[in-house]
Amino acid sequence: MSTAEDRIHSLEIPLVENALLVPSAAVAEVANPTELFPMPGAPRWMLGVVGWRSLAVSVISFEALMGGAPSFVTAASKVVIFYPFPGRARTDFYGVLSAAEPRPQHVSSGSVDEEDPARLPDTLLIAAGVRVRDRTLLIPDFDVLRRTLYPQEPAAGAR
Amino acid sequence: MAESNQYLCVVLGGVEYLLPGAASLAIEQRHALIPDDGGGPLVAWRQSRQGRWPVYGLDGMLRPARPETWQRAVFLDGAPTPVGLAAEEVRLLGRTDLNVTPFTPLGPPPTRAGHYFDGAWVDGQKVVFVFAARGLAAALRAGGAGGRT
Repeated sequence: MSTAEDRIHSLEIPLVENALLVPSAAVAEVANPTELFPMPGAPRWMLGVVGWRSLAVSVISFEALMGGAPSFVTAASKVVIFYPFPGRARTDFYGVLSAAEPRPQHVSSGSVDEEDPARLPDTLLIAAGVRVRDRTLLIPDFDVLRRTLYPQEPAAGAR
Repeated sequence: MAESNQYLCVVLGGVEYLLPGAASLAIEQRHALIPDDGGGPLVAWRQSRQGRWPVYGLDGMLRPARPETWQRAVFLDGAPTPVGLAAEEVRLLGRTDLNVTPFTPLGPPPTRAGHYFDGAWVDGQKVVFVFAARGLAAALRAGGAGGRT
């Protein structure tokens, strides 16, 4: 039986073909995608920017980050807004486009099985996969994600 | 020339952008400039004592373009000479009229001089990007050089 200590409050973020599993503590808010403003010069995985709490928040397609086709906003979409990475400016929130309403997951070592790495997308952005009720949830590698989003930032040891 | 406590609202291809007033060296009306009919994004020149300053056109996504209806050119500092942006419309806005917040674009910068933007003004749901002067100048020069940055 899992204890409160080893239970992690997580959020399942549905993507078009799979789903991410992230700590709820990393998420500031789940928002409805309002108007998405395209940003000149942006990489293909950056879908645009939304206005949120007087800030401009970049919205990314995790599918495109992993090398697939960029996702797009549908009636079911949500924007999962993440807190800035540690050490970044307090305005550096970023959003991930979710294909549907994210679902809370209470994950503990006893409630999930590790997914066979051979069945995971071939990308450094995914640190691991877990099976929850016969579904595979992908756990992002936030260090790799940070380096992808902010490639001009000094390496971790130099920060 | 705009003052440091002002922003210029610049319209390109129907899209509004902001430029900090301190970043503009000069603003000229189209009729005061020497037209260039070469057919590319170089649309005009400004003759100054320091030489000729080129004016380039960009579309709403900052791609090199030759706009038909531009009215004014906004000049930015740059090497070897200042460089101008052909705008459909230029308005002065006081800093107190806007709430500009820092904005860090994600991903690799599109020019060697950095990203195009370093701030944004969110007005309700509307987002207006604020140009980083060095990135914009690099975009203009890249347009004039055929896309090289």
